[in-house]
Amino acid sequence: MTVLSTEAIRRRLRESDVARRLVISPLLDEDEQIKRGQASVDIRLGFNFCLVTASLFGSIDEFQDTSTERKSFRDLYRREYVPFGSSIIIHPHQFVLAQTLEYIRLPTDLMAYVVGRSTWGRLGLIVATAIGIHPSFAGSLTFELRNLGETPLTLYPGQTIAQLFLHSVVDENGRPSATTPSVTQYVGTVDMIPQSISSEKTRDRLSKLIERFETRSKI
Amino acid sequence: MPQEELLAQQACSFFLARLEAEISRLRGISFPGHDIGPRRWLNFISGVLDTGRQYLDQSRPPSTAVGKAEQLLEDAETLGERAYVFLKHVTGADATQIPHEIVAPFQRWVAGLGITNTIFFRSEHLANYELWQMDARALKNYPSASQSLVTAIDDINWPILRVTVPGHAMDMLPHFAVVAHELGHAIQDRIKPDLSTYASDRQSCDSRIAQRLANNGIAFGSNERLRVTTIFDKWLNEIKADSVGHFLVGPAFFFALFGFLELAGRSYGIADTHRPSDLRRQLLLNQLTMGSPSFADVFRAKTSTAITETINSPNIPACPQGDTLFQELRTEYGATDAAICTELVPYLQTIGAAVFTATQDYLDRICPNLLYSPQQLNADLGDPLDMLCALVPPIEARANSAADPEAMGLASILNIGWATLLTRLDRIPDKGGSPGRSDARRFDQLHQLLLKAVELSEARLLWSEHK
Repeated sequence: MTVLSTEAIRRRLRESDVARRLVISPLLDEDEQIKRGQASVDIRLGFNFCLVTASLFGSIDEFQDTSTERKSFRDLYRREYVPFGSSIIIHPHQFVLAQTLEYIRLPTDLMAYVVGRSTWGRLGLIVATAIGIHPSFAGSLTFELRNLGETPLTLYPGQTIAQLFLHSVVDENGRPSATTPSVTQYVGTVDMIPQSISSEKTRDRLSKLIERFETRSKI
Repeated sequence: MPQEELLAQQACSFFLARLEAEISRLRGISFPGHDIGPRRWLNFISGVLDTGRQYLDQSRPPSTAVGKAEQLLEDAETLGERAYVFLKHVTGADATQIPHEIVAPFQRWVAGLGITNTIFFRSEHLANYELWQMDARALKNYPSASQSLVTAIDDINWPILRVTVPGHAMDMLPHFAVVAHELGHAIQDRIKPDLSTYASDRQSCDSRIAQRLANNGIAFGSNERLRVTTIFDKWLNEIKADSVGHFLVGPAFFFALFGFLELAGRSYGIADTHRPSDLRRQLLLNQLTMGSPSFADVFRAKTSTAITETINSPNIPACPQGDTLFQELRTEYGATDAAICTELVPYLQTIGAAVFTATQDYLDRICPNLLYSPQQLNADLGDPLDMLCALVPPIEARANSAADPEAMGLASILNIGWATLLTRLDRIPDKGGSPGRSDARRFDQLHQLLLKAVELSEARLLWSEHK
């Protein structure tokens, strides 16, 4: 698997072919975010945050009531918009969803890994858990922030918080992949709140298994 | 002091305390775009309450004579009541009610147009875009006005302006181009078309009004002439506001205004305040087809779609003319207004182009960079439109591959959005997952992407302005 150098990243950002173009926008300071001789792009903290609040839901169970599933996800969070110049404090052991300032679109032949900056890590901040980004992803990335330290951390939109490592994806013949994935809930997404846990197919199968189990349990 | 007065004092004290608590709560919430307008308005209301509180304190016996105390109490009650009404105006201005992303770009329009009044934006659950203004400087003359009231009044550039947009269920981003029209109302007095060449048209308009009135047994006296002036001025101001919308936003204004009226105003749209909707539409379409290349030429070349009068407003009815219109209006508005409106319609159509020219001349002088051009539309409907169809919001664009990217303006974002909505919505993938029709989900996706574009293009601008 090939990792793109910063020079290769810059070239892909300027690619004239829309389908092959890598988009990381806006890069507020390209030279600072794509440093020569490295192999990553620094990405910044955005303006939108979702704070987990106390809820009336006993547990998050996608099979409990499918009709209210999306509502219940939304009800788990309180949204906060933090503009440039303002800040948000993440307290010890607090869990917060945040977004990248940059909107990202990967072409079909690139995938990426998001890795938190070690400076933040050493201060106790875990930045992301779902770190793999598939080819053709388009949207703002969601950070699952957790302060594992013992000191509150003040976060400012615009701070560089993570790095994006880009890898080329090849097909079975070693050529750049051109496979367009089927539409998923995370294509073109600008919202942090998950829409569903399982795919429709998995949910359907599991629902039948749950029904079978419950029926047998009653016998 | 009688027992009733004491009880009234207590009630007033409680009322003022409740109002102060409400202001305190509102000060704690975030207003979109770091808008200082709502905060200045809250300071003003707080000053009114402080003055009311002073009156109430002075009304307490024994230091004040009974008659004087009653007057002071009544004044305190009046100020409380006014503060309560003033508070209503800030309802819907917080970040949970109006999309926070859009306010800062609106403020750039405000600054670009040279509007120095204190202003704020709010949403209301009505199908309405509106500019409201108020001048409350006179409150400074209240006897013993509190220092906080004096300071708050001095801090506001009066008259204070408030732009209302529809509530959440109707706050579709592409429609927000209509706000350019409302800001046009804020500068309408500065646009002075030369109508002297149309003097004979005006004379013949007045003669036709007089004839219609005479046919209905009404003399064309001074009251009627005053009414003609009143309605004419309002209609003229509407053309001015439409022209500001057109020059700031181009085709997106046309699509937004009539897309909005299609949803919420499928009538002739004629009243003493507004000209008929279809005639506004005709005039704007004429503007879109003027020049070479015109906006319409560019739009057709880039999207293979012609901008027609009814492209997104097929159900706005054509307004009848002459006797038919007069008969219909007479039932609703009476013979005088019906005669005036009926005969002003052709006159306003005649002078419409001159008003647009005057607006263009004025805007060319004060904010040439704010004017949207067919050349800009040509650039916007190239790569950025293709990128939006590939789910990349129009945040920034490069003039060429070697150039640094520059932030997209709000007008560009709105035009790219409308072009996608009207000609390429099928290319926006339907992610499913939520109830409703597929086209509604695609529209929602487009709305979200455009909001993101507005948010991040503003971020780029702010970043570059603070080197």
